[in-house]
Order: sequence, then structure tokens, then C-alpha cells
Amino acid sequence: MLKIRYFASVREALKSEGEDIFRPDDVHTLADLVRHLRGIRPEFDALFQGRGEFEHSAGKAGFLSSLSALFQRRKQGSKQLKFAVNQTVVGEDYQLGDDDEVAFFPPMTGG
Amino acid sequence: MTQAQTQVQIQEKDFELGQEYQALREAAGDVGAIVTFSGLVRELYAPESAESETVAELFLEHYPGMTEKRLQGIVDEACQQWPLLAVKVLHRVGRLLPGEQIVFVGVASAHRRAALDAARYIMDYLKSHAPFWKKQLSNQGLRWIESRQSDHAALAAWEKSAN
Repeated sequence: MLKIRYFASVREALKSEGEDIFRPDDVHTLADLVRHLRGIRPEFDALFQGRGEFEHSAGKAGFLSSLSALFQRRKQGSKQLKFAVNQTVVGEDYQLGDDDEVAFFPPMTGG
Repeated sequence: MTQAQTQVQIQEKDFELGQEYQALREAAGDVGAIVTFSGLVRELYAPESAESETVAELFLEHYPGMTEKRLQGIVDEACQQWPLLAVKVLHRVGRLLPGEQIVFVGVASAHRRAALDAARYIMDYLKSHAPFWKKQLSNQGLRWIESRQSDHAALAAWEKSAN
């Protein structure tokens, strides 16, 4: 089972602390999982929308270009989603194992 | 080189600066410099691109497990860069009020420069590389605090100096 966890504003937007799901056959990377979750959860999809470059969410090509834009913005250190697998921040091409713990959260604000 | 004594702690309750200092002093052995940093919750919240707010309460959320792992990672990175004797990082979570202590970083070394630099390094990375999130209740309402450009700039400066 993939153990998915949501934190802070992501948890509130999804009204969920997380969920356990079996890794679908077509989900290999973190980007695949994001696409899968966007497909089954409108609230998750909405996290990627309303930010200009994420408006076009239909189709895989559209999604990948959205994700690419997301990572461009990540580099600028503004307000996008971050991903951690097994409690380490990773990139979208991370290859998921069947029992990984995957977390979605906004930029961290400690101190 | 001997291994530094390090400790990372997450807790809801407050901490006592004198106790933390004494513990570091005892753990460090033949120590020449101890730097302690305490972060406090301010009543005035002045974001970079909006009006100032008066803070009533702060709520600190974290990712149990990853938080400790990541903080320990930051401490280990500091120990690789400077000759440190002891390091303690303590971060509070839960509900905090203006004026309360929120974070403690203590660094002991033989010499002041290593202790000062390492303390600053740990704090700079802790701000945006450890999974904490702040939600704030102010006169503007209840909302999540966004990361600051100045914090990212502080990290960029460290990364530049490493090259």
C-alpha cells in the first residue's frame, strides 16, 4: 500500500490527513501518482488549478507541461506543492515502490 | 576528530534557556564558545508584500518523523562543515502566543567563529528545509503563513559560499 499523507494547507483543502491506496498499474513515478490523484479527487486537481499555468489539466501532455511549470515555479521558491517520499523531499521523476510513504505539503515555514 | 554530541527535540512545552545552555556546556567537554539562539513569536507580523498584522495566536504543525530526520540531517551537515563539540535543536509545535519562545539552537565549539557560523547555518536551513508549517490568527483572520523570499535568499547565499 502507498501511504499518502497531506499536511497544512493541503490537508485542509482536501479535508483529509491522508489515505492508503494500492499503487495502480500505470503509476510508476511521483508524476504518475499526481496525475492519478488529480483524476480521482477533484479537490486534489483544484490544488493545481487557478494558478494560470495549471488551468489546462486535460490529457497527459497538458499535465506534464503543467508539472514542468510547477517545477519552474518551485525553483523560484514561491508557493507550490512539495513532495516527500519516505520522509525525504524528492523530484517528480522519483520511482515509487509499492509501500512508499508519500507526502504532499506547501513550502515549509519553520523557525 | 571526535564526534559532536547532537540532539534534536520536538515538543509542545516551553524550554528554559539556562538549562539548555548548561546541558550543552556539560556535553561539549573542553569548550571555548557556546552560541545560543532563541526564536520568539512576534505580535507584529510584517509580510514582504502586504500590510502588517497583529498576531493573536500561532499554530505550528509538523510532519512527525520527517521533522526529526530532517533536523538531524541539517545538524549533521553543520558538523561536517565546522569543528563542533555539541549541538542542540529544539522546536516547539502546537499553539503559541506572541512573546513565547518557539525555537532554540545551541552550538558549542572550541572557537567562536565555528559556533557562530554553524548556529546561523542551522537556523537558515531550519526555516525552509524542515517540515513545519505556521498558521496564524491575526486581526486579518486565520491563514497559513507563506515562506519568505528573504529566507530563500539566505539559503542561496550558503549554497553560493559552498561552491
